[in-house]
Amino acid sequence: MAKFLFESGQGAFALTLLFFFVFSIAFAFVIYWKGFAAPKPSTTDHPKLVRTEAIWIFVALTLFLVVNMSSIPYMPTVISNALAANSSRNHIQDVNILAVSWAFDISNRNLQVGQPIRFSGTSFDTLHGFAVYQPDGRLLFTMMLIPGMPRPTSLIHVFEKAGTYTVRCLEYCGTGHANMQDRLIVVNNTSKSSPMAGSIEK
Amino acid sequence: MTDIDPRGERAAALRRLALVYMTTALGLFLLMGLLGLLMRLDQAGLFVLPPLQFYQVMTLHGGGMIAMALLGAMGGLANALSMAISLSPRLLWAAYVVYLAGVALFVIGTLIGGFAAGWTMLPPLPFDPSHEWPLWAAVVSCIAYLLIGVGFLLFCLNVLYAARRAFGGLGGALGWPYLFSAGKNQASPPPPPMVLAATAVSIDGVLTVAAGALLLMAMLAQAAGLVGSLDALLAKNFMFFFGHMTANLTIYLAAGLVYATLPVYVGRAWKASWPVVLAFNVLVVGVILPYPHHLYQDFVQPLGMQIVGQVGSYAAGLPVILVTVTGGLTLIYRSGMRWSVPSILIAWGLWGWVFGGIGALLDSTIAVNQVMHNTLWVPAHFHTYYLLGAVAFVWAYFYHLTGELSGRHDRFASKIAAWMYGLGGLGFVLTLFLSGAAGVPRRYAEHLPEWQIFAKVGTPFVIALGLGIGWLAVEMFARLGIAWRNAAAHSA
Ligand code: HEM
Ligand SMILES: [Cu+2]
Repeated sequence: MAKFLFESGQGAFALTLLFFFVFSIAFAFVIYWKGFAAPKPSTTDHPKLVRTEAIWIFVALTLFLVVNMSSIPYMPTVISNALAANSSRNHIQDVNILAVSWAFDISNRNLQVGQPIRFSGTSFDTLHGFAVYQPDGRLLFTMMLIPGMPRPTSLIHVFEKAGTYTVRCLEYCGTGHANMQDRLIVVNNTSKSSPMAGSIEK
Repeated sequence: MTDIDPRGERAAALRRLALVYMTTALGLFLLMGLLGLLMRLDQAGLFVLPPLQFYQVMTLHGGGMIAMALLGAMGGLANALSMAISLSPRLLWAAYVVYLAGVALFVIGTLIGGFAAGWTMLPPLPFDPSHEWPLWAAVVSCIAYLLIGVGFLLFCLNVLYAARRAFGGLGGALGWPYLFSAGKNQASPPPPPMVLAATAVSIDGVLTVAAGALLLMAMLAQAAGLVGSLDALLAKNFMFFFGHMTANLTIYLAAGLVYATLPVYVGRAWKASWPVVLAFNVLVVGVILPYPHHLYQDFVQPLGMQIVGQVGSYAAGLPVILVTVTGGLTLIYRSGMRWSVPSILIAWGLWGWVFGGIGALLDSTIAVNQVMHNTLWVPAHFHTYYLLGAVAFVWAYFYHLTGELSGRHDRFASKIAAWMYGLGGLGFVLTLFLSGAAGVPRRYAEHLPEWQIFAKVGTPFVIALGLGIGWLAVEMFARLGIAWRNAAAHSA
């Protein structure tokens, strides 16, 4: 459940509507039935409503704090750090990325399911993004590549499904931005074959 | 408070000033809105713009819309505030000229010069020699932003000066005596909410412009070859401090207009309660915190910054949204509110502000941002709380003011137009949210065939919105002549 909510766009949309639904009902009630429709200004004591107001604010704040706190284990850096700590024995595969307007240079495009992979990227010229899309078209993860940094942006990821993953640039980088893409081929782990660097070109 | 006299010359001058500020804003909105429609048509695959043109249009639309919203909010508030603090019409006219010169330069830089680095102009893109626009176009655009910044700065300084004078110091204008006595200090009632909003915004506005000016000067120095290339990450931090804050502050400024307008339509006074005073004080510090959420996917940033961004995003805006919206609702509750264009727009605005706000909060949750960063979810949430929030508040106030000054009232068709604005806006932003949830990237000049459906569905809604605001604009523009004449005589 939490995974769905925090790891997919649809989840976030569902959550938005969920929060919003409750609010909208209260809103419509106040505005329509009690706001416009009342024929004459009522004598309801305004200060009394201040308590309702306080309760509502408290409930909303708590709800949001819960979402905020419960999302922390799903933060990419937190996941990455945990993977790095756990995978000290089985090695992490390194994939290096260099972005140049408007293409990616990826040291290895053939990857395996279940293998922790450390994507490390930099940019040659301007800001670029490195976003991996799942075979079904949904966004899997994003990172930003920045030129001139002392160390690359990096993230450890473990693929769970085999398939062709599309890589897209998600930081505006000029007129070629929308066409800046690449591919990663993820296969099921069969043997300990050596990865072949950059064998599939677009 | 001697010079606060609604019959005085100063108040009359401010009424005229407000009319000019808001008329300009509405005119800009209509033009920039057409550009928005053009982009959505392109993304629907119905009207193909070459990439460079798309990005020129996108850059102009983004910068132009933010500038127009801020202009409209400043103008409206300059007049609304005149019953509590006394702003200087002369200074605000100067601000207007500088501001408009900035907007004009931006149009030249983007449309003629071909500058297309996006409204955020993140270095090193603007001056990257491999791009299609000439150096002068980037320089002109940077100067344009500087001028817009100076215009805003003049407004902020004017507000701070006047608020200090009227309330015996900035602490007074922020309601401190009342706040720190837990609301028990009867001798010092808090200032009206719109003074709180204007003061809080102006304090942060000065910081924002300072940060922005520093960055823009550094960019210009780089263009002139005086310094080497800027640190891209540092520049990104500065730019978002500037850009995020300006966009955010516009919303809180426009919220001040709700505090000024709604009471007229519900027939009740809106006094600052203790939570309202607290919320605006929290805002002063809080609004600085969330900007790192634009850099969540820059894993080279220290983790601490990310957490500050996440917690800050929740902490900063939420209190103000909550007190304004719940305050507004309790004010409306059983009030027998008048069903008219301003109250319809304010109702849409309060509703949309919460919708956009929730969308923003979720996206500022790092785990969610991982799959949302730079998708259309981002334009979705900010279009929601602009179109159906801040900007709706500005139109509500403009409609209200021109109505009062001209003595003309809305007709049945006007109310339909206000509804079309809201419903059209809602349909449009929903298609943006859905695109974002499906992972469609923002700032893509070409959309894959499977993404085009969202923009196709969105287009009729954009047209409905356009017809709605178009109708209201014709009404408001038609009232301007009488309103202008009456502004001098009218006793508000
Ligand atoms: C009138 C209805 C509007 C329409 C149809 C519209 C449409 C659009 C579209 C299609 C984009 C490009 C999205 C992308 O692919 O990244 C966009 C971007 C943007 N819009 Fe609007 N918009 C409207 C109103 C507004 C308003 C009221 C504001 C703010 C006050 C605004 C501010 C922006 C900004 C800041 C951007 C981002 C530009 C950039 O990425 O550099 N828009 N809009
Ligand atoms: Cu790009």
